[in-house]
Amino acid sequence: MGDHQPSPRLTVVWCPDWSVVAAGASPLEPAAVLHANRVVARTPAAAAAGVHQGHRRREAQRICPVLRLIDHDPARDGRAFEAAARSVAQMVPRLETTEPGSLTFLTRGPARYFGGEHDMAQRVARLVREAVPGACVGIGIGDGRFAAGIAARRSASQSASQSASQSASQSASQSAGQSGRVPEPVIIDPGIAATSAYLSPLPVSTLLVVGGIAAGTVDLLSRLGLRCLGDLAALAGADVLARFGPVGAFAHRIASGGDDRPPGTAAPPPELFVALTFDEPVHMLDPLVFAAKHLAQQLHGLLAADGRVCTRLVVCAETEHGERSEHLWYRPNGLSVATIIERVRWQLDGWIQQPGGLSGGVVLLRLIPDEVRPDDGSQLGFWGGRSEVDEWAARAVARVAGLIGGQQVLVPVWRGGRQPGDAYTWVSVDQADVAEPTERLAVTDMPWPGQLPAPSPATVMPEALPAEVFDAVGRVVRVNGRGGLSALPHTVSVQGRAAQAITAWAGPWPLDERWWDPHQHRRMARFQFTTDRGAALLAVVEHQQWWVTAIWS
Amino acid sequence: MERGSLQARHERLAQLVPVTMSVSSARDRLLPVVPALGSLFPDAGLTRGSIIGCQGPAAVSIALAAVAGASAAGSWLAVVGLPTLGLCAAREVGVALERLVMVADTTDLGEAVWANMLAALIDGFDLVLVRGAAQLRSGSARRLQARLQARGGVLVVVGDPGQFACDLIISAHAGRWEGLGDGTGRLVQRRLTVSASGRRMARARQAEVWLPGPQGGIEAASGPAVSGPAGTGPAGTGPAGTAAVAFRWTG
Repeated sequence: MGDHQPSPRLTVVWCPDWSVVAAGASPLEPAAVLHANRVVARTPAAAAAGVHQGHRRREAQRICPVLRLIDHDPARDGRAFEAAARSVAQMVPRLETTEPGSLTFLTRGPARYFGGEHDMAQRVARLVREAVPGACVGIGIGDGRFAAGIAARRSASQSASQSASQSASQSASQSAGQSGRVPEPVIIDPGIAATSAYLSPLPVSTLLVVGGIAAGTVDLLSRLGLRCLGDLAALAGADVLARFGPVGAFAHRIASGGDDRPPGTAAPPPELFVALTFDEPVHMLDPLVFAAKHLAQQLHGLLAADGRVCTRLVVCAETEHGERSEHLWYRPNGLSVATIIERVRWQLDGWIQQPGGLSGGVVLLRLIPDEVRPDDGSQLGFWGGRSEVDEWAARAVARVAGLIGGQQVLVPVWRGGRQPGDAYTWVSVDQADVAEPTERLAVTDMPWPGQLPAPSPATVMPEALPAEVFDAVGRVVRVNGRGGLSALPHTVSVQGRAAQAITAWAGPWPLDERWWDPHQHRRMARFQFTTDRGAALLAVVEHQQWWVTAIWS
Repeated sequence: MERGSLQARHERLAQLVPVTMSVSSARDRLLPVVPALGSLFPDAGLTRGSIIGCQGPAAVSIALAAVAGASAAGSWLAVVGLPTLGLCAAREVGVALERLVMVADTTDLGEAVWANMLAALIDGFDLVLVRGAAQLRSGSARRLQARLQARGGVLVVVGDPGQFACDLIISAHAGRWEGLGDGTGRLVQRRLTVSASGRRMARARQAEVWLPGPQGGIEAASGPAVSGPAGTGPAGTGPAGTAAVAFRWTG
């Protein structure tokens, strides 16, 4: 391996906990965004109470009982961040977004134009502040993504602690108004030596948080006694490569301030792009996203034929009146078809819904790969890969969604629950990847105590049917709070239809769900009935009203 | 390596042959069905291009069981007009939920849009399960049927087939449930007598199945039907040991 090359000098704008800002939570209100039962973002108030990223839902609620929980919605994050990206794009031409909440651009040009790195950074920070008033902003400049990302995080935490000390000295209402102060940028001096010296005392866990190195590797490093980045950088590169493979070599390179672009990264030939022009201007988001799906597959196919993957992509859309939205998206692991579609949706959703709106429909959509590298990622196919059958089905889904609207075409998602209709829910194909079901159908093996065992009913009513259950003398059967019946059930009448005689029954099986939540608390008793017409019903009593929720048809 | 295990592997490999072939090759005219229903179908499989009608009170369960084998072997399944489909039951009977797509609300689509949508689904899916086919006009139905034959899918119609000419009609009469007593037990299994008749069959065929079986799947029922009142379930099938906590009523 040759000597480390210098990285390009980059500026990173970093909005920590972007998801809560996007969800509109006030910084003074304890709130957190959860994804897969883990906290991914929280407000400063929640952070002050001790809620941190990675906490489980229960843990977070134990630490802060008044915590408001918000569902994770990447589309909302992307849409809200579009405003910030648009305002910074006024002064910086090539702006790239890694994820909602993080912007990266080359420092050299803007810094020369706007009077030095410090002045330029403050100007950018002011723009972001104005575009997204509630957000905490950090801005960092350094050689390479890793160093600049660390600088931006440090700047964000400094400005957060400043505003916290302010709110301690002033009253809460004043500090809410004061939170609009511009953060101080953190600038790392150029050159490998300076970068390396800056990174040296930082803990190796920054490799996980900022560098995107797998948790297992980082954990192993710290257990081997390499506590800070300087320890890792002090090792010989060849030894690290021999012990940890390419991942370790990459970690070693970024820890010692080297270039953090994967080897083999290159700009693709300029003629490589995919575009679609619409004869009829398109005003709606959904058809655009479906068109983008097609383009993304085309682009992915072109690149995959050469064994390459796109790591940086320009998404460009134009309206009939020449309005233009152009964005650079970066993903270190390479952009798959699904991730490209997601980014197109983020960009166009924010653009179409911007204040004032667009004057015309979109007539052009173009995807241009800006940086490609050899695809050394996971190899799919052979067994368990996509087959021709899957391709056919995906195309049919796209066509039907175009015909009757994507909201009407659904795929199942596992959620878990005690009632037959709770275990799975449906989501529209717009929001899910039809061909990659592993995530949406990942069934947790943990049991749901109180769930009825198999066989499950084949017909589950989306809305329970009102019913009446009578005893032998025609009185309605009541169930008391202790699960006692007023009389033996004899006949059942569903939706006011003629009564059917009950031939066998079992129950009540009580169910007391969400007793801690006054709005979603449900308390009911479940019964199974078979009737003289051969039907088997699942009935529940809730607030002394009988319902039929499912039928074994 | 042991010989027994080698033989077992050969057997497993032999089982895989039809499964893998039906995925990759559209020329193969048969899609697999679960063994319990095999005797009902000509050639013991779903013939590509055919329409199968499912009728009777257990039509939904039978339709799911009929497509389960092909779905598990890699075919995609589209469901139209069945917003009440129980996904747990579908999974238990063997339908692969990762290859299941549902068209939710079809009530206010016009006949023409409905037919176009069905045509698009037939183009892309090996299996299309549909309810509410009675609204189709005869012209559309004929067009769809021709498309189905050209594309090689299988259409399963639940309830009234309307203008579709079914190649095979499977029906079941109300079955007999076991496991539920008089305030005791729980639903465990249902014995169904399923009969199939069709254009290519000289006479109706019958099969005895447990649908759903104790684990929700479909199993062939052997032996004559046990007579007796429903509810004389097998001993020890009470909810004790199940996840549901039962309060026995002691009145």
